[in-house]
Amino acid sequence: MTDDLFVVEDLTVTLPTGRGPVDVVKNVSFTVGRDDTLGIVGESGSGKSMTALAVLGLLPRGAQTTGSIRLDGAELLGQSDRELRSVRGNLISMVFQDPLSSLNPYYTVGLQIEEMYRAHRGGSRRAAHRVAIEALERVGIPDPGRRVDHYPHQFSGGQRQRIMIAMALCCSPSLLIADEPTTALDVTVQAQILELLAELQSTTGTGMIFITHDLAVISSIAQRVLVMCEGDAVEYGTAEQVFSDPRHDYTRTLLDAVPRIDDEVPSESRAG
Amino acid sequence: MSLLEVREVTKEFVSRGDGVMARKAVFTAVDNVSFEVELGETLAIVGESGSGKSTTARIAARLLEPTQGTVSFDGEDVTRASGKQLARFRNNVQVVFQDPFSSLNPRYTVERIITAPLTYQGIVPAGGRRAFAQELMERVGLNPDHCQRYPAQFSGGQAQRIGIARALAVNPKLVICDEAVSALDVSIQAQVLELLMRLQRESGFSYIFIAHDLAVVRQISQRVAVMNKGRIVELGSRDQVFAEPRDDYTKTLLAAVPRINPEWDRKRRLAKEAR
Repeated sequence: MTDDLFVVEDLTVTLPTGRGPVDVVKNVSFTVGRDDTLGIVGESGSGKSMTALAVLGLLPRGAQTTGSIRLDGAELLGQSDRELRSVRGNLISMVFQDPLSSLNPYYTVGLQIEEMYRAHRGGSRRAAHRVAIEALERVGIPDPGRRVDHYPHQFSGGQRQRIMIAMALCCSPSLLIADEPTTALDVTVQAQILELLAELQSTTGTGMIFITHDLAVISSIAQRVLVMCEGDAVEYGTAEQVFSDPRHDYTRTLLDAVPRIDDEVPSESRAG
Repeated sequence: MSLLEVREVTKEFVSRGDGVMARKAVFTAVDNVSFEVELGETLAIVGESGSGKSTTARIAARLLEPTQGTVSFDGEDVTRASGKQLARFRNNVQVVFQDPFSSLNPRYTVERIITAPLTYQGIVPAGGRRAFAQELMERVGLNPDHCQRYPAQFSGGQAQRIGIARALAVNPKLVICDEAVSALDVSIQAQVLELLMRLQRESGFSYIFIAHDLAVVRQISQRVAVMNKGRIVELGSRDQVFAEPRDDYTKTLLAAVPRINPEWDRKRRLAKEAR
């Protein structure tokens, strides 16, 4: 038994399709330590999001999962829906790509954070309200005491993602799964959110799985990297090893394809 | 004389303000913007969401009329062009959109999609439509045997190639790409960028390349206009804008782009060269 917070072993996810069952995740293994960020990177259809959904028991109906998923030594795979509900949002939280579709437009953001908190921790509404204000303050929403009573549409895209992060962290989970959390954001806002996530992680010690298609983002936030391609984990190592000495051809191709912003561009190949 | 001249163009949208009794509010999406495009060059327009880059592209393509200012093409004022004059303009200026699937009619075969601009222009290709479509498909790297297939039977990258083939059907002088590679996976994106550059080398037309991704813009453009809140805050050669940005907003934008750790990247390339 290692000291790792989160261990996934030989995870295979099979989805039923019109043409028979398809393995969308094949024998994937990885670990996430406390304080550690694992980046899962891949193109569309690589199985990176399915891996995250499997961890949370949120796979589509009919999906079959084999292998082992352990948090702090406790097996999550095969647990009932009810048992998993006490894990989701409490021990493992998730932030998705599109904050607007994850927030309920009819309720104030404060109420949504309070609801999340009380579902897991109970307590009075007043106490939960204080937690919500603190959570908003922690993610850098100005004037949180007033903003807590505002509705999602009254916030910008970047602020909404901050609110999602506040909600995900309000129960102090051991593990945060962020699935393309900055993909829909402008580049300047993305930089702020990445900074916020890194800062919160260093103060809370939450383990993080950061899923993205963007290798440059992974490079700036992850300590370890898992590269997925068509359901397979083709490469797994420290960020330094994967970026400086990739072993698999697919990783090499992917790294070659990323347009760079700093290095010399041979001008004859560009100017028509 | 430049191929395309956009002079002091402003676009205002009128919307109802907040609340039930609100007065009309005017939103200035594009604010006094001027630029020109020379034949054979690529001008990139970059900016974040709401910067006005797509509205500017739509005005340049005459898909929107500006509130003020003029658009001239080949020395001819086309700002209020209609009828035959507009048809002539559309024969010279084509657009490639971001989402290939929503810009391709799902009920039409690729052959019909690619030759549609000819139909609108009343052009009958020598050698017939089939041969014409197949030749274009080959040029953009699609299998010509698939000309009777429908868009849904293609991948995202292939569908974008169909959109590009359609744009080239009338042999335009200017192709406006509005986030044309943004929805594609990075390896596919690299291939489509290669294709766009090769087609320009072969045919000598110009691009206006609208994008939010600065690294992509750097691959394809010769000149870059940076937009923020409806205005062009900086316009210069690619190398000047990326290496010596003058405007504060451009600097902020460039600094915010995530980068692969340069030390790791250098190591990898050295190892690759050694292999």
